[in-house]
Amino acid sequence: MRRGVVTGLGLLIAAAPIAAAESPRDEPYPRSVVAITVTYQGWDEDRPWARTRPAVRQASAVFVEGPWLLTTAQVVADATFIQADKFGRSSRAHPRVHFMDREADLALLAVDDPAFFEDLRPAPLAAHTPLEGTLRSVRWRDQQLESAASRVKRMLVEASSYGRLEHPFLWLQTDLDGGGWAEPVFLDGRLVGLTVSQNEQRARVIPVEMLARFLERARRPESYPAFPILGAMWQVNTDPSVTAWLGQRGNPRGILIRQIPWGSSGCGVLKPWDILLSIDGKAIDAEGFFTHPRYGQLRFPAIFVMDHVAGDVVPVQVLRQGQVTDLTLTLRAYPVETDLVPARGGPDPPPYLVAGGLVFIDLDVDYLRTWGRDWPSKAPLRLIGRYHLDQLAQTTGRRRIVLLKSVLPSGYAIGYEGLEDQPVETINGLPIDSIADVDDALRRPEGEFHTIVLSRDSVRREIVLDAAGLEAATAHILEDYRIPAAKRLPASPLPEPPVACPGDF
Amino acid sequence: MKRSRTTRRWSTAVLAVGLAAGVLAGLAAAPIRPGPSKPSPEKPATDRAPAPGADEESIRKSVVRLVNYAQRGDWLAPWEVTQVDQRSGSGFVVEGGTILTNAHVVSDSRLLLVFLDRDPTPHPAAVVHVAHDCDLAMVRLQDPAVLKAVPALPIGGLPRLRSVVETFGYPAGGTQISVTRGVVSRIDDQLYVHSGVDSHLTVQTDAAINPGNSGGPVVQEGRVVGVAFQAAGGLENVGYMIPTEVVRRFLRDSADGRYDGYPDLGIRTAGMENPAARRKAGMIGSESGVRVDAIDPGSSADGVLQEGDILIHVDGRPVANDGTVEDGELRIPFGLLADRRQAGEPVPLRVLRGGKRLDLSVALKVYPPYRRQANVYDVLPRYYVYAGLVFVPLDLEVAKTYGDDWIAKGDRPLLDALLHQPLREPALRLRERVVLLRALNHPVNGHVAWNRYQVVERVNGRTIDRLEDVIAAVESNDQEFHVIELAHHRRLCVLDRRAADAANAGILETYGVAEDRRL
Repeated sequence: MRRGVVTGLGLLIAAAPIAAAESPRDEPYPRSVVAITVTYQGWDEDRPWARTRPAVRQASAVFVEGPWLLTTAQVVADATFIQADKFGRSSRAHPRVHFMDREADLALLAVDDPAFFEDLRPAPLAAHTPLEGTLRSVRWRDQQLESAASRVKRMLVEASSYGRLEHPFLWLQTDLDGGGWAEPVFLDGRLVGLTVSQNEQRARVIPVEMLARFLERARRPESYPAFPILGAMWQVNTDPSVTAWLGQRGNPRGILIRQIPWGSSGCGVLKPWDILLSIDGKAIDAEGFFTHPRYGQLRFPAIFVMDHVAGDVVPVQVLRQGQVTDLTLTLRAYPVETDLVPARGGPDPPPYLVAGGLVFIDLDVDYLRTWGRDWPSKAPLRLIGRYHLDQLAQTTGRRRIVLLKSVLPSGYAIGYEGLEDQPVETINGLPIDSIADVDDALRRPEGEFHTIVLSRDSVRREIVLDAAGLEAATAHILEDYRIPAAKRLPASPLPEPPVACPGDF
Repeated sequence: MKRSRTTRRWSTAVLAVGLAAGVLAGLAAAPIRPGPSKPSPEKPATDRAPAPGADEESIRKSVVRLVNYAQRGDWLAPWEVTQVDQRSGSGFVVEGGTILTNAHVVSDSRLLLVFLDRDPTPHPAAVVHVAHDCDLAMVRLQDPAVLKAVPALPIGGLPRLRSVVETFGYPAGGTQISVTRGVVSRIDDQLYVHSGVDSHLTVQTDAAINPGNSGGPVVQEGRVVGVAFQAAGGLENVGYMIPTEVVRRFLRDSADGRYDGYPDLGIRTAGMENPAARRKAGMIGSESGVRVDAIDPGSSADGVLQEGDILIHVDGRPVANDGTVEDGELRIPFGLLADRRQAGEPVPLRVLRGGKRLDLSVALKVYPPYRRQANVYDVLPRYYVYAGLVFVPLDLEVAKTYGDDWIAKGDRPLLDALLHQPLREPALRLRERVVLLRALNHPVNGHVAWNRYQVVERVNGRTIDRLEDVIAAVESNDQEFHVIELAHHRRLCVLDRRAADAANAGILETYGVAEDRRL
């Protein structure tokens, strides 16, 4: 999700150009920045067999060596059609997504016609993110180039817009109105970042260090190593009573590890109540900061994303039972597939299954978001409680929460029509861990019946259906409710973690 | 906004809870299920209103005005009390020289005054019995002789639908009696918003019922057929009265000098409308019933019923697949049959279990764990303060400290622990969860990372099943540290024991906490 208030397209269009270059083709920015128009269509989380209405986003991309167009992942998410315009004029170029890292919120677009790039110039990348000076946030609007002044506020390590990857962001005070749609940011003609969101005049920018690392690896998507993350739950270690109890002498330092999810970088190595003192030789303070030689105090996740890729083995030091202990972590990407309630469903359409009018889906944050902007307080407590307490608590035996999302009313499932958003425990005695399990279990009736057992906090514990009538009832219901297919199973089963990696949650 | 169905149910309850604290009538009611009426066994009902004149004159003499100076505990600063709040309501004199009114009129009372018809003299009174689970109370004047000349109102039966009733009372704070007239528009079970968790039979009328009417009699042919008690927020011309079967049950329950309250079967059931479900359960022909989905530990049904039983008869009446039973002209939820019983009385049940029909009997018990989700009155909050950390039992009043919109504002894990976790893990019903509510800031607790609305799991290794366990764990600890393990996300608080002991008295004094505990 975008942080803060993201200005709508209407405002963007209304914004006036701030500075127009006199002769666009001679200037560096007009030859590096292109406008993209993205027609997109997501999936309707309430009717997962259907798509939402098509809509259009207008955003920017920047031409980089390759040749590629670099933009943010959220700009091209669910794209059905992309058009790239240069020099403020419409073109016939239709880029396609070459590679996307949703966790890092970056995407690389390819244009098949090499002639598109002929009068463009790839933007050179700055060596570092500047911490002072006036930067330029650049985009095309109304056939003119806007180049607005932006001033550096600070560098902060925060969670990315989409997922749980944490990396440095550059925060700018910008003169650009209604930004946040992948506007590139330059200093002295060199690319220093890409804007991911903007709240009033405060813009959040992915810094060039992240862009450079993404570009280096994304050219060969088949061997792309992801940005790694610790993945453990921790708390600040500023309480001298806690540190004394844990046997730490002197001032509190290091962070206190509480829970280690299955499949994360720390699994099998870190333990609850370890104090993580250093990563890769860099000391971590009691609030989780280390000293970066250029950017000063940054939160520790920056060590992983700026210096490493998933798969690297990194030395760490912990205080465990009063003893300083040296360990090594095998870094892993944020393991979205090991979340019990994943932050997003990923690029694949949402799996679902309709049987006798009962609609089954996976519980994920995309679904919780259908309760609107205030979903953390508006979504049913039955679901949101699980999200708060168990979102990371997947185990090998419990990988997803499957919901009976709703019941399409019919004579077949009479008596069950009011049920909605009830977690499913078993079907015909088989544990339900995925939509594929639902599909499988419904092939194995118990005698004449299918028995669906819902979780104990559901309004009803058991649903019994007539097994012999299921197929015909489903066919009728699909026709009556205009549902094109009874199911969409996950494209592939959830991948197993690379090694046996038990969590301690 | 779309799809707020689940939340809507809660927000109605919130409104009810929010209003119940201060407003006498005009409370929001949350309709739950359609229900029925029953012709009065005591007296034939009629559709004629009482003739004005001598009867009305005698009725108004029996109707009194109550003024209650009330004061509640402060659940956010549980050693404190709130400022005094003046409320007024109505009541009426019944046999035995006592006055019947609503519980919400007299709750949290510090001084209760009764004014008789056309008499400005305040008469101090005391609550004899209060039933917060059905919003009724019995009040006695300090000087019973005052009521000698006041006629007691006879209690009648259930009025018929569409029959005319009159409401007597002192609405809107007035000192002159008000009489409104209307018809009985519906009879069903409704949530009683005073407690926020109890549902009983309720009579709906279009006679105006406003704040201040609460506790006043609803009269038909010179007899009381109901006690005015709440109105529906958002609906016009809908007022509710407590029918006399609930009033009589209250009188019977308290006849031995103690009000025990409504017993509960302690089960959750689900309808059997689906033919496949009935077939699988072995129900034959026109046999009907509901499935027992859950049995709370230690409740009336625990050890008698089993999960999966089909409840086919309650108290000799066949239970329909939607859980209703026939009751005179209409249908009522089967649970209302248990409502009519007193604690200790048996209720005969017939269940279908494993293809066999079994006749069982459940001895009814009051089930105190359900009260954790109810509004609390007349008692001050229990708490324990140590080293500035404030511990309280987890209950609805704690949740309400988030404000009127607590259901949206409250921390999800805390609300889950109060409302949902006991459903998932029924054994938790028998444990009192304790909450680290807040910290009274002091250097000794200044670094505690988690100090607001945290459910406590263990203190110094001891599992916390009630507030007293926290005290025992703290006071018996001779180690260097107090270690407080929280229930969620393996959060941890640690206090240096000697520093905490040394700071304790000073913190209590600084924050004006006269006693470190109330148990």
